[in-house]
Amino acid sequence: MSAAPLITFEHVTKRYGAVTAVDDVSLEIGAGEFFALLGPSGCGKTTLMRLIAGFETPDAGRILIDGRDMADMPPHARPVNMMFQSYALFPHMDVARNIGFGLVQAGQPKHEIETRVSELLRLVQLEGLGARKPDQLSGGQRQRVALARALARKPRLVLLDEPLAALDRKLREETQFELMRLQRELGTGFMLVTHDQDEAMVMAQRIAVMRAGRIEQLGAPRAIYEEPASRFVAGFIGEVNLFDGVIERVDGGVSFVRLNGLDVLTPVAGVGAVGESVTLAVRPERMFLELMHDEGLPGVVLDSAYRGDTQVARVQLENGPLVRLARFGADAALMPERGAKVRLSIPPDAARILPA
Amino acid sequence: MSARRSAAERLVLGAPWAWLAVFFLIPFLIVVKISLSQAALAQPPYTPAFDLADGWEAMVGRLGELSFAAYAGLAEDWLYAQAYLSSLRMALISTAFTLAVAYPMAYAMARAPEHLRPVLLVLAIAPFWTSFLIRVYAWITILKDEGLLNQALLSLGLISEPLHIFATDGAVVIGIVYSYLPFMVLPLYNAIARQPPELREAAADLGASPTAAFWRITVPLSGPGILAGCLLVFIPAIGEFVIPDLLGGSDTLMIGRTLWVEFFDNRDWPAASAVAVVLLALLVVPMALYERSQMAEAQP
Repeated sequence: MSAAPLITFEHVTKRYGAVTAVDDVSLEIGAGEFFALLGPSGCGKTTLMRLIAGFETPDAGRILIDGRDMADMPPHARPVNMMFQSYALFPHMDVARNIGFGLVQAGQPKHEIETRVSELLRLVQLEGLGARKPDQLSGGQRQRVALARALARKPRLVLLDEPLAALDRKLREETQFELMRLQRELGTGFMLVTHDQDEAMVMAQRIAVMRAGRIEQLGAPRAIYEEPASRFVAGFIGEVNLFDGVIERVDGGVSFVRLNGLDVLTPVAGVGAVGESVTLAVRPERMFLELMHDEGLPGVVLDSAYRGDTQVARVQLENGPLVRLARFGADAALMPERGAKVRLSIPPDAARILPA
Repeated sequence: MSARRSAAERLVLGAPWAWLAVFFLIPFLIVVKISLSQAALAQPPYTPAFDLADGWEAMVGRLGELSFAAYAGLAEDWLYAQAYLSSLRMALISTAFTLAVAYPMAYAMARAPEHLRPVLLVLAIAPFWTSFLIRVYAWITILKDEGLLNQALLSLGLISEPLHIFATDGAVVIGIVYSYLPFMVLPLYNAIARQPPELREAAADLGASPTAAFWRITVPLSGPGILAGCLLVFIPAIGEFVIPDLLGGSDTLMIGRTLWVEFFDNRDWPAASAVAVVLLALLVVPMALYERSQMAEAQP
C-alpha cells in the first residue's frame, strides 16, 4: 500500500455483552482501493463496517480515517457514506430528493444540488426517474438510487453492505461489473461487505476473510484462493479437498506427507516440521486423473454432473475421503462416467500445506 | 362449496355494516327526525310523534308536519354560531397541546428498549382503568386556587399569589389534553415505532445531525399517525361536555353545554337535535375531505 492509509484499525475490539463481535482487529485500507470483507454471517464483518460509519463505537482500540481519530466523531461528520443492505431509501422523498439529501445537509446551493443530482442520475443510468418515489421503482433501480445517494457527497470511502443480496442472479452479475466500472472511474474507495465469495473474488482488489471477529487472512483474491492460510479460508473460498496427514520427511523445499489411511507418500511443495500433523488442501480442478492404472489413489466415481462450463464429479477413495473433481472447457469431456474405477493423484504444486 | 364460502364471507363483511346500521344510522335518523319536529309540552316533548301502532298510512300522513323551524332557530340566534366557533377554537388549541405533549412521549416509548415497550404501552393506557369522571374531578383539586398546583408553586416561591386556572378556558384545555392524551400517544407511537431504524442511520450517514434527521425523516414519516391522533382528539373534543362543565367557568362556551341546556333545561328536543346534526355535518365535511385526499394519494 502506498502513502498514508485511508482507514486504519488499531487493535479494535467491539463486544455485545458476552459476544465479541470484533476481536483485536488491526487493518489498513488504502485510498481508492476496492476492498472486501468476506465471511459467514456473525463473523463480525457488518460490525466492522458499522464501526467505520460510526454507528458503533469500539470498546478498545482506535479507528483513524485519513489519520484522524474517529473516537468522538459522530456518523454525520465522517467522510464515508454507506449503502445499506435494505437500501434505506426515504419513502416520503422522490428519487432526486433522496440522492440530494446529503447535499442539502451539506448546505450546498440549490442549483449545484440539481446539477449534481442529474449527474448522478446519469451515472447510475436512472435519467428521467428523478420524480419517482422509491416504491415506484424496481429492486434494481432502488439499488442504483441507494448507490447514487451514497456517492453524492463524494466520500473518501463508500461502504457497501451486501449490495447485491436483494438482486436476482442475472442482475447481480451485471451490477458487479457496474460497481467495478464506477469504482475505477470515480477513484473512490469501496468497501464491500459480503458473505458471497464470488462477489468478493470478482470485485475486490484485496479481501479480508473474517471468522469469529478476527481477520483470518488478508490478501489479493488470487493469493487467498491459491494460498489459503487455514482450513477455514480454504473451505470458505471455493471448493476444496482436504487430506489429513503427517510430514514424514523434508527434502529441498519439498515435504513428503503420509496421508492418513492411504498408503502413499505425497510430495508437496513447501516446508514443514517433520512429524507435524498437517492438512493438504487441493482444489477440485487441480486433482490429477491418472491414465496409467497402477499409480495414484484408487477410487470409484460416485456421481458426475454437467454444469455447462464445468463437469464436476465426486470420487470415493478407497480407505480415504470423498474427493471432488472439476474439469473445464474441452477437458470436461474427459471426465469419467459414474461408476468408473479411477486413480487420482495430487500434483506436488497443487497441494497447500495447512496446519491440521 | 364456493357459494357457501361466499355466503360466509358476505356475513363477515356484512357484520360491521349491520353494526353501523343498528347503532349509528338508525339512532342518527331518529335524531334527524326529532330535529325536524316541533317542541311540545307532551310525552315525548315534540310533535309529530310517530308510533308504529298507528299504522303506516298515519305515519306517512304526518311527514307533512315536519319543519325546519329548529334549524332556522339555530341560524337566527348568534349564540349558536358563537358556541360552535368557541368549541372549534377550544378543540383546535387542545389538539395542538395534546400533540405537543404526546409526541415526545410517543417518541420516548418507540425508542425505549424493546422489552420495556409493552410496559410503557400499558402505562400509557392505565388511566383508562379508573372512571373518566373521577379523574376529571381530581383535576379540580389540583387546579383550584388553593389546590395542589398552586400550593406547590407557592411553597417553591415561583409565584407569590395563586394562579387562577380553575374555572377558565385554560383549565378546560388542560382537562382535554390530559383526558385524550392516550388517543394521541398510541397512533403516534405506532407511526414512530414502525419506522426502520436504518432510515435514521442513513440520514446520519448523509450528514444529518440528530435534530435534522428528526425533522426531515422521523416527523414526516409519522404524518399519518399525527393526522390520526389529531382526528381522534379533535372530534370528541369539539363536542366535549363533561370537561368544560366541571373545569370550565360560567363563560366557557362549548357546543356540548349548549346541547345539554337545550335538552335538559329548555326541554327543546328539536333544537338540541338540530345542534347535534349540524355538529355532525361540520365534522363529516373535513373528514370526507381528508378521506378523499388519502384516496388521491394512494392512486397517483
